[in-house]
Amino acid sequence: MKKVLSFLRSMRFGMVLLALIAVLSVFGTLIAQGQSAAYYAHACPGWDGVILALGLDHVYSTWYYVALFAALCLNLLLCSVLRAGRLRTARAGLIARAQKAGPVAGLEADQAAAALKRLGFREQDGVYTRRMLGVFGPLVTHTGLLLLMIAAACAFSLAQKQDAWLMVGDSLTLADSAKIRVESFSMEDASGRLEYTSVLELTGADGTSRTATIQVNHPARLGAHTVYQQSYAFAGVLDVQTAPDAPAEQVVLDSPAFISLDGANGIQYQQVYGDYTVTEDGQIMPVNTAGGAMVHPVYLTAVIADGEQRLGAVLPDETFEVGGVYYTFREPAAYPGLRIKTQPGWVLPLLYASFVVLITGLYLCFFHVPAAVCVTQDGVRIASGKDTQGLAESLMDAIHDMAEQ
Amino acid sequence: MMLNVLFYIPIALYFVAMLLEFMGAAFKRASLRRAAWFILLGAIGVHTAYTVLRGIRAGRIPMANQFEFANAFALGVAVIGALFKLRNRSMDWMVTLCTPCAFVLISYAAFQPQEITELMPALRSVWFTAHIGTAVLSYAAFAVAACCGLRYLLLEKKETDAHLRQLDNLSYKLVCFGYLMLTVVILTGCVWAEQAWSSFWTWDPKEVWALITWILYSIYLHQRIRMNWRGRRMAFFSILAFVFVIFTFVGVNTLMSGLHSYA
Repeated sequence: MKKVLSFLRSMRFGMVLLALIAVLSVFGTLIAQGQSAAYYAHACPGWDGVILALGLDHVYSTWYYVALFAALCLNLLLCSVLRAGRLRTARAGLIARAQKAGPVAGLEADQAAAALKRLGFREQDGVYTRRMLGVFGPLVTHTGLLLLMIAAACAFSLAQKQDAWLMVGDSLTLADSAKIRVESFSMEDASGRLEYTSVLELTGADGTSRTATIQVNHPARLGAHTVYQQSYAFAGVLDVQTAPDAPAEQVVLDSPAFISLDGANGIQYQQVYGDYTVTEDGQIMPVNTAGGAMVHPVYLTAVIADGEQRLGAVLPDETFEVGGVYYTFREPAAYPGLRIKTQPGWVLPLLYASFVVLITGLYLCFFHVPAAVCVTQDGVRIASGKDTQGLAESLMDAIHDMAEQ
Repeated sequence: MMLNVLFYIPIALYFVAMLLEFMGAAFKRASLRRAAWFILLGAIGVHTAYTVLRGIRAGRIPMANQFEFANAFALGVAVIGALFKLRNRSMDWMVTLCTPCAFVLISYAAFQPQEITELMPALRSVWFTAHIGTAVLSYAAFAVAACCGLRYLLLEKKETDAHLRQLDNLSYKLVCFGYLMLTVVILTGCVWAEQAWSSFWTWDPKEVWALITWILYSIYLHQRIRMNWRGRRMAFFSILAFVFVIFTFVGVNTLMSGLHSYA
């Protein structure tokens, strides 16, 4: 049991786990993740069976990848417990190391004492110490890393995400009866710069309501929910009139639909495209654009009249009459794709706290290295958490500087 | 136009400094090495001026794409080398190491599209500067550490123990700094991703390769601190780890697509 425990908390075990995580992660970046079996059969002929059998198509969520992280957590936990137990004696241990070290050649006790004070060492009973807080560095670092992995696991497992495409004026009611209503959406700011902005009316579960503006990088909180500006899309806009001079009723189309007053004659809306080309015989051919931008929008529709269907492309502001009703497609309207993430409120603070602990620990490890120097008449003995030789050289330099002055 | 011309001046200066430094080291001519040092300082001055002017013209920190990052990376390497040399006048070899490295990096930048483009909405964040700025510092520190490792391996049988120990220690200290900065890069990236993409970690290739690099340097540090690895093994390790840094910087952007594809 003791041997097993010793192995589980050993650095060697931790290093093996890290190396395995790294190797598996490489596979995750080289093999496209989350694709269909047919994709792997086409992209990696001969290897698709292996990829699917080993779960390399979703390597980051395989049991063995998760198990490696769990084992790393265990390793860090045991290692941290061991370190915490040794902390009480860490300072004394460093001083004892200094006392046992051989004297540094060429260092006189009197000169060294003055130089050590200059280098920020504190003296107590002939022992000079500096940056002793640094003995906490490895423990703080490992604790931070452990916290980070726990917080990350909580964030991955407890967060629920929901994507919603809402037209302006539409609303979405969440499970806890909180409500999100889109008041407006724009794709440019006042200066004409690309900026996706949704103005939302957010109503909490308690019925209180407020207006919030969200943009990429600027989500809004709503109780346990966070609302993100995730994406956008374009919907077709169609004016329907019963006579050329009659008031128009506007229909917004975000999916294929049949628009008709009598149920038999009307317009079958398919999709709005961002651009088009014109063929030699004058036909308009809709084409998709990068990012779905509406460069020269064109509607793909079918006119259905008297039992006949005629497929075609229609440009905005083009009016045509079907069964005594006038249809005019307008410029497409943009609408936002929102992402609503719901997770317990303590997850993010825990995650960010782990970041701070980790960075503090690393700072202590690398830039707050503890050192102890024993100065006696028979010599100067040094122990440093990192670079004893370097400290001896610094001491020499300080003595040299003092002598020059 | 003027700005574009200004970009090519430091390339030429780094090249001349590199030639003079190599000739000075090969023929043991102190005057050539002194000239190389002053030319390197001049290159850094012009390079800094170019970077600042580009930032002013772009209205942001000029590290938003492959060209700008490589440009800042090269400047970072040159500045680190110059700072060490300024701190310790006997470190002439630092100029020998950093000048070619800066020259290669800025030459790589020269082959990238150089036009100033407006930041896409996802990049307009307060975390942009912290995330990319620390990445430049981290990569530059790893680059100089790897150069120290390379020098160690090349001169292992010719140089004194004191010099080899100095190289070994310096490489280690630079890795410590780079590792701390890389950790900040990853963590600030997490905070930013949470705000922009609703998830602090998305297993994007750039993220994963940054994690792999971080793991590799974690192993380096543990082997050094706890297993007392020194010298040749550490030199080799720092070079190997830097290959991963370069792959994360260039390879991932070139060979893989993901959320960082604009970088």
